[in-house]
Amino acid sequence: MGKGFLTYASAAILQAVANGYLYGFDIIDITGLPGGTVYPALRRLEDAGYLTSKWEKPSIAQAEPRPARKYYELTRPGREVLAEAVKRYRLLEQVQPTKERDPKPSRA
Amino acid sequence: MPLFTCHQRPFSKPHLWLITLVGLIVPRRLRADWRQEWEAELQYRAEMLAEWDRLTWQNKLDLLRRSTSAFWDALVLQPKRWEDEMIQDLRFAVRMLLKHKGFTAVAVLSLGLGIGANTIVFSLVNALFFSAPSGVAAAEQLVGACALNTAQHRLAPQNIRYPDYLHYRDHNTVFSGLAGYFSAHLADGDFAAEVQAQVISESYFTVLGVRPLLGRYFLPEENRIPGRNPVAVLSYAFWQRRFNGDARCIGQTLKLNGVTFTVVGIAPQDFHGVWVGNTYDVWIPTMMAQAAYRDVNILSRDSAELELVGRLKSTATREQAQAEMTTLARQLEASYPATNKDAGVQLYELKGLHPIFRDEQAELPRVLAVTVLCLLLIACANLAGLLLARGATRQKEIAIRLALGSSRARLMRQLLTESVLLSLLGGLVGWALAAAASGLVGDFYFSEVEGVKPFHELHFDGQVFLFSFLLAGLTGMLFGLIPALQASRPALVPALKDDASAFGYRRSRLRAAFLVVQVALSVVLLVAAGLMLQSLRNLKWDAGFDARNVVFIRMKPHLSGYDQQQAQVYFQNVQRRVASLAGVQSVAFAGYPPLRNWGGDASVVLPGEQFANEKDKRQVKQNKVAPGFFETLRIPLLQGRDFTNQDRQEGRRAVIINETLARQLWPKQDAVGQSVLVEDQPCEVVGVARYNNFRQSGEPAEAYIFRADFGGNRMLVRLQGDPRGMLPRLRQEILAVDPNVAISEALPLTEMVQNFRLMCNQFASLLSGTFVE
Repeated sequence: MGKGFLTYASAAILQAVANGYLYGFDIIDITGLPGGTVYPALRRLEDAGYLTSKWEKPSIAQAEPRPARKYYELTRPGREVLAEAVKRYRLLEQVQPTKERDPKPSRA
Repeated sequence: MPLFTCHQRPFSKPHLWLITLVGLIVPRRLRADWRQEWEAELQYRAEMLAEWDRLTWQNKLDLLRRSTSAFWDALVLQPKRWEDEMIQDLRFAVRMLLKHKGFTAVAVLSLGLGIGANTIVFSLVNALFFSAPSGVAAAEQLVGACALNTAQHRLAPQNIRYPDYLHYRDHNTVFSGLAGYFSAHLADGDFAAEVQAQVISESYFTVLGVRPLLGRYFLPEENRIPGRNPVAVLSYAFWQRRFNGDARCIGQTLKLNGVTFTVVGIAPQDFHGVWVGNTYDVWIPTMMAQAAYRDVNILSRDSAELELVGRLKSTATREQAQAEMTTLARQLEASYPATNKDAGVQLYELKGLHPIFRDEQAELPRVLAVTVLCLLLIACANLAGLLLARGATRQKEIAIRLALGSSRARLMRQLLTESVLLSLLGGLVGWALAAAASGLVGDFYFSEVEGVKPFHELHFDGQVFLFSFLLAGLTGMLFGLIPALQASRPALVPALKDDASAFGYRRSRLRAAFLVVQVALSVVLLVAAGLMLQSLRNLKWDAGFDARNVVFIRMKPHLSGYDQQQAQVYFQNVQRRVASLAGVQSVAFAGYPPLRNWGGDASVVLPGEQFANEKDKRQVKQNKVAPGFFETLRIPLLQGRDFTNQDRQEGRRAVIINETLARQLWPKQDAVGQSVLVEDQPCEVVGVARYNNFRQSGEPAEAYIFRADFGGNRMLVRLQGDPRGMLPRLRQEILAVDPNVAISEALPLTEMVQNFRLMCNQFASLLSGTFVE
């Protein structure tokens, strides 16, 4: 995945992560993209080094109780490639936070 | 990482069950992560809705639909699984090969030999038949054109006339450029050496897209008036040889065939002309053709010397070009019926050898290709046998892996990885062997005969490299497959109990089959090699003369302006000087080298014999020789005597015939003293010789006639000692007579005979260099 060659879907996903939507189903909900698009894109973005991921602590999940979540985070190259994509895809601005969110997976 | 427990009752929640199922295609190391993420996703969806039992059927369907998305996600991860397992397989294969070093060495070496031999032969085939001329731009647009006899549909013995070339050049619409060329031998006057020249139209280099390394090529005005502009372009090799690569040679002169040429440019190093198999020293413009051939008047319709090379326009195909050239040829035929009857033009792809030589040169590579493929098959059968045997020794390991739940497909992949790795290693070894041996093969195959040194670049390019590796890979796949199939299905219980019969009857039958193939192919090759050696021995026995301690020297006084009379005086002087040297036993001249079928035919008729047709006359192979020829080559005279100097005089025509001809003409009488008409001239038989002219035993004996003559420009010198060591001394003596006369060839006769055999392209001849002498 070369710089500046992000598909719209990938850019939207990066934008969502940048805006604090940090796990798969959150991203699906905010972008409106299907899971069959979002998850493979997350794998590819992670392989390309634009995202990193980590699991939340099982204790937190068990306390809720729900399955543990995998949190995604933007890397520096991810941020750069997103900045370029934003210039190209004006519509990305729509993927904005709807509520105040914790920018970091502090629960992890 | 512990999995969340919501999949404990999967069947109550089919979407989770689906995730478990789809997860099977995800690589094992990623599977837990992947499943957990998707389960969290679906759990989240479910929670947002309600408990499963309370969901409406639309919600349930929606959840299921969402879980099918996991399939696309799993697919993304699938290739990683192959990567993982391949690396695992490779690592294991390397370990196994290192563990069994003897097995690995034998398998890799035998495959390496097979693949190496194939690589050499196919690079030869590639060079001879498929390689584009080196050093030219966009070779695929170039086409060659030769004269075609349209009545007989074959290449005409004559070539294309210069005026016709101008017509083709100026009236075609398919070529962006059309150039003409022909070859000539020239004498380099200052060095008394022969140079290979090409006489070319001024557009030659432009059409080929070759830029000069130094200086320039010919200008159009230099190629307008016959004889006015003696300019020359040198090849890189000749420039290095003749001028030591000195850039100041531009503007200097050199004397070719007595004409002083000015050097105007140097061609790049990698350019050797348009057909594979030739290389040139100098290029001169067509208007200087008379320097090459005195009787050629390039502008007249009587001289037909040129071949053409054209560059197709990007819009034109070779078929269109052929059609248009045929039309233009018909126009010429209509305008000049006297000279152009049945004269057509045949276009060729500019690849490999000139079409004239293609068929005659194809025999050796074809036989070689079959031989080396046989060799490779033997190596492969050998590999398959080795792999089978190793499968038998590994049956316990394989049985344990099967018992532990490894699938057969997985095991086969592992075994195939090992065999492909082996064959790739074999390919590497083969390629290295081929690269090391390429020089040898090149020297061996492309030898000089009669002053024309064929030139081929035998190098290993990407194509050949790819070929050997494809061959290696395929070999591994094909010949690893059956052993892998066999090895991966042992009878488990006996195998685990160390029972040697676990592989059963079928297995031993397969091994026997491989052995039979291997032995059969080996026998075929052995028999072929035996036959070749046999025919080789025959070839050696019946050369008809003793070539040892004889040198062959060819001089070309006519290139330096000598006429017949002057040349005779010159040769007499040479003979006198050479004969007086210490170590020289005898000297003789001959019209042709004493090689098979070299001299041409003469009609031989008895006085009074009548033939209805000229063609029906007895045709006999001939050579024209001077006194001393039989002594020098130690050809035994059975009856009569050798030629004398008087025999060469006009009016007294003496011939010496071989036994076969003597028996044919006078079965019951002595041949000596009889009269015979040779080429309609009455001659007297003065002797009968035992001479076979390279007949092999089994071939019918052939009639042969020697005519007393001045002897031509080929000199044979019998020496007391090593012929090679005497060559410089002989050269010196010859140059002392006239340093301007080119010595075009000087080599031991044994070498010449060997080169000739190579040129004949009989398979036996290939071995001659190895086994004879």
